[in-house]
Amino acid sequence: MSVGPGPTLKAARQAMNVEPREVADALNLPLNIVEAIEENDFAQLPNPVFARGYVRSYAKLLELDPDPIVQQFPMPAEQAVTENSMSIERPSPFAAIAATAQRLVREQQQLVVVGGAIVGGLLLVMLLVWLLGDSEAEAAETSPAPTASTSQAATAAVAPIDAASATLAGERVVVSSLTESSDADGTVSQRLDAGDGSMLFEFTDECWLEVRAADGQVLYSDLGKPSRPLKFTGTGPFSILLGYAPAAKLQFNGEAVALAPHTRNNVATLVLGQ
Amino acid sequence: MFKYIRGLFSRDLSIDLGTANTLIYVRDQGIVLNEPSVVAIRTQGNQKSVAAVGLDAKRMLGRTPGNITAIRPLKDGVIADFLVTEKMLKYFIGKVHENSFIRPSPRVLVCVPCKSTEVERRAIRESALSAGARDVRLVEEPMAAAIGAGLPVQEAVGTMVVDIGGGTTEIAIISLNGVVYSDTVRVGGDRFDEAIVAYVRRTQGSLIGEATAERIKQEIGAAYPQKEILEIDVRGRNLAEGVPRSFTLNSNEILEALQEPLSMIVQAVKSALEQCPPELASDIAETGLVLTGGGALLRDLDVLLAEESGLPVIIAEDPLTCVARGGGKALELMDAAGNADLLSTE
Repeated sequence: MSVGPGPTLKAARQAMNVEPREVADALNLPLNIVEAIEENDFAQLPNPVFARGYVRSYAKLLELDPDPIVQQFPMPAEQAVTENSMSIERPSPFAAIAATAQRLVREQQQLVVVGGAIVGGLLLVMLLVWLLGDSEAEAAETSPAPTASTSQAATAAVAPIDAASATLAGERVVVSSLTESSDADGTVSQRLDAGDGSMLFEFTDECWLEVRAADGQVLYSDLGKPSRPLKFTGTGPFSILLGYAPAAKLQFNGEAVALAPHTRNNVATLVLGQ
Repeated sequence: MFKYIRGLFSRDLSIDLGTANTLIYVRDQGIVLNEPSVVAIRTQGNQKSVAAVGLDAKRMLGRTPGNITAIRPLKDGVIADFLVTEKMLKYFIGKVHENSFIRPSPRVLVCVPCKSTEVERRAIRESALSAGARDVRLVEEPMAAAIGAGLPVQEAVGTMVVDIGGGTTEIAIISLNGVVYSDTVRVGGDRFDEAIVAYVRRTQGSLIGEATAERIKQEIGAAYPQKEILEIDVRGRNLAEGVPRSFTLNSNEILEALQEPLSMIVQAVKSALEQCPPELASDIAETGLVLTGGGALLRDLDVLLAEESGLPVIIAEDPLTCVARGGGKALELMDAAGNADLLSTE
């Protein structure tokens, strides 16, 4: 019976020079209860919930902070409560069923979480593959080149015999020849067939350019950029399509070609080298 | 059937649907929600929508523009606005189940004032059902408060509970899991606030809002003359001059302001003791009466009641959450042993 709020309360009461009788009157408690609290004689006290309440009131009466003193009281309220409800909470089949059901629910929720994590992980992997795959393809497109010289040589060889077949190869060469025969000023030159007529395209803005052979075969089609003049060599005839004619300047064999007469709605279509 | 499946993903809730605050208790987790019972409604033409619920809405009380009204859907412990209560419950139930992606359908136990009529109970049941509950049980508030306070309700011993809520004060004498005597007085925290507003208007000639009155009550309010006089500075609109003025109130003035509602509570406690069967009265005289609810936090209310009734008066631990916790325990007891006499179902 050593642990408890009794001694603290008793000391505080004596310090204030108050008799137990007065405390009992003030709290409307029987004298023996007050004495039992001071003696930590818990057997004398009623239900712990009430006893804790009495201790709280007593502490308040003595102008002490009730919470730490009530904490000293050995039986916490929760414990008291479970003890009270013990008689009702005997294990019954219902309780067992309820417990199983709860466990099932918990497992189900875990399943949902795990399943969600797996699906999420898969999605993430797919996303990564998609993104990385994409950038690899881009890399392949932007770093072309080393095959250039051989294939261009091949084009040159084949071209005189058959313009059509040359265009086939030419199409492939388009990109590769860019680096191969870039001039000092960045002009990109390209040989389209065996002829020696030259076309020079210069752009002030982005402009779509398409060059076709007489039979409709596409020799070149790409977006022209302002910083990259394009030079084509060949005799033609070529039909040319400029997506945004105001931004383009065309020279054929060193002579400027007026685009305005061929332009409708900013799109120029013309045939050169006939 | 669907409700059953959704029920598997929901948790049993005990809801203390109070006039001032709504508390939700979840088994194994304790009190998970404690918010003011306030809903802010936005009106656009003929359409009404919920602008905010709970704490956010409470901040709007008395400060809303024309198209928003912040209302308290419960009055005197019962539903005053059925639809808004339903919206509020739906919001709170959703909030408790925030991290589940299936629409929750929990079993719900709601606490009702013991003097509420059949119509009022049905209103609460229906609004809980339309808020998504799959099963609604009602328990009388003082019963839940007694269980929450840890009182020995199932024993053949009388215990007396005084639950002072926002809108009502419930007084009940309980024995053997049943309510022997019960009474509801429509006096609670709100009436205290109103009394303070009226007092300040009368003595200072100034108008203060309910929120300010509540702050005054919490900071310096007392039910019994204090040794130490506390003071508070408040600002209100002067009625004569029409401009805001600052003035000081002390705890004795507030004590005077609270006299009327306090005496109503004291009267109700006395009349409960008068009408109590003698055996139970002697039990109560021995153990005393227990105060729960937010009103129990009013300074020295226990001293006042002890003096007026001549009984030991104790304040339950954590009085604000007693009812919700008790409701949760009642749900557990109900599951454990089919202990149906605690609960009313239809």
